[in-house]
Amino acid sequence: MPEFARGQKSRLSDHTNATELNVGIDVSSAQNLVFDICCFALDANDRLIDDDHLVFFNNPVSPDGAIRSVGPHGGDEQVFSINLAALSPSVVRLVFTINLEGGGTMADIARGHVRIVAAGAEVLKYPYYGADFTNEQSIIAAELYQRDGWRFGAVGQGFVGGLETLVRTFGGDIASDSPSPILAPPAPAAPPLAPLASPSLPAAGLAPSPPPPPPPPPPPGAAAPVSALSLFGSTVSLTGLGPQLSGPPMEYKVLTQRDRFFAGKLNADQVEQAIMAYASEGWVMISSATAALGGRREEYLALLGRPIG
Amino acid sequence: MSVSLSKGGNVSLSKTDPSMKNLHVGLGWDIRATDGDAYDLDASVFLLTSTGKVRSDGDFIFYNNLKSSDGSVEHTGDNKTGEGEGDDEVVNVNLDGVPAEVDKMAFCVTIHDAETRKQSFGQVQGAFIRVANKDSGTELARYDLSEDASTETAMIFGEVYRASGEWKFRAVGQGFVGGLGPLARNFGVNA
Repeated sequence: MPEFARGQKSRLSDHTNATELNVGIDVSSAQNLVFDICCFALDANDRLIDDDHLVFFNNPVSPDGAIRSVGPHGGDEQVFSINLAALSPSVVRLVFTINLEGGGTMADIARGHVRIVAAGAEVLKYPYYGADFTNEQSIIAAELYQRDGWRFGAVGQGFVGGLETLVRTFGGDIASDSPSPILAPPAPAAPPLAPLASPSLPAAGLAPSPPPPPPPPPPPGAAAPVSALSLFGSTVSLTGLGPQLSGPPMEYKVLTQRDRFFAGKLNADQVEQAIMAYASEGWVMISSATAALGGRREEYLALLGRPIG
Repeated sequence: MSVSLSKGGNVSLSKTDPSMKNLHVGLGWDIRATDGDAYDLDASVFLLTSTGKVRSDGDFIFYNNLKSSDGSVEHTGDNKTGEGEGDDEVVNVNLDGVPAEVDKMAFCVTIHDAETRKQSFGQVQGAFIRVANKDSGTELARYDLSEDASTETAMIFGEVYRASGEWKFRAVGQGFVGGLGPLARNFGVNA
């Protein structure tokens, strides 16, 4: 099984004739670095075809269904399942990127690899190490591209800038009027208080906890929860609200993936930590939902509430 | 009409452009798009006899020896980043002035400081060599070698050689381990 060095390229057909591949990407570090691993599907001009062709945790399937984000699998941090035969003809290059979220640089990683697995067997692997990098925050790890058939290239080069720089490299527009979730600058944590329009919504499920500390004042200009939800630029429908009950005046909070507790990749541990953290302030889960954000993206939302006073 | 060659392909320059007196050999590559040290590619030419060796060190034309002793081969100077459109480094050859015992001119490219900078040809985008008639500007042949390069740091891009009284060009695309020094020694230069 060949090991690739940085810069090395090869015809895929020299290694496998399969068209259904798993591309496994792994990064390990002594520090607790957080990575976003993405697949950009590019056209013949090396441009991202559109937002829906950026496949990652929050947009797990390309429009043609040929690129799927599998998540962690088989010991790799992130696996993409690729069906080359089903790719839209306009897609001629798949670029696999790693972006460090938060602090640190690629030089801080211990090691990592990109490998291709076909029919359960590893057919090639490109290992890389922290020493291969200096101060990059985002790298193009490897690419699959068409040139007389599909080829694999071990790239291992990147940018001091993060994801924005990657997106700009592939022709994306960061400062657009309609921010897409991954490209938009991190939103501030949800306002601490976002009272719903109707203060008499359910108190069902409230924990019999001691009264919480007095709530901080509502942020200036904070209006209905719609304004918090409109962060996403789309309509959100919450389901699962119980029947109206009479009870103490309530305050509510909408927890989203943009929340300070689980900004970034959705994972159950972070959701749990966030809910526990809010629970310590007296917040109780009232309902949760996913919100469609256009295309195939969804975002997890949780509605929390607690009695005022 | 320009011929786009693939690795190993050749074309007769004399047949394609019988009137050509002066050859323009251009080397180009794209400026580095990612962050890090720039790619500094250096073109060099070895004037070789039929034994495949230089007659003397003066037959090694490179950034520190820009002109052959007879003046027939001239390197127009070093470009350190690949910036700008078109050819980044150019070697001009006066074909009639090339000494009869020179059978072949090997056009090579090395990456400056590749080891320190951890660079190889596989990382360089858009590398090509092209051959044109210097006086008319007409391109005769071109070889894009981005896909043929991988971990090499020195390459023989192409060669202009005599064959039955004609000048021909061959796209070689052969990697060479070690850089400019070992490459020069391979061709008999006392580097």
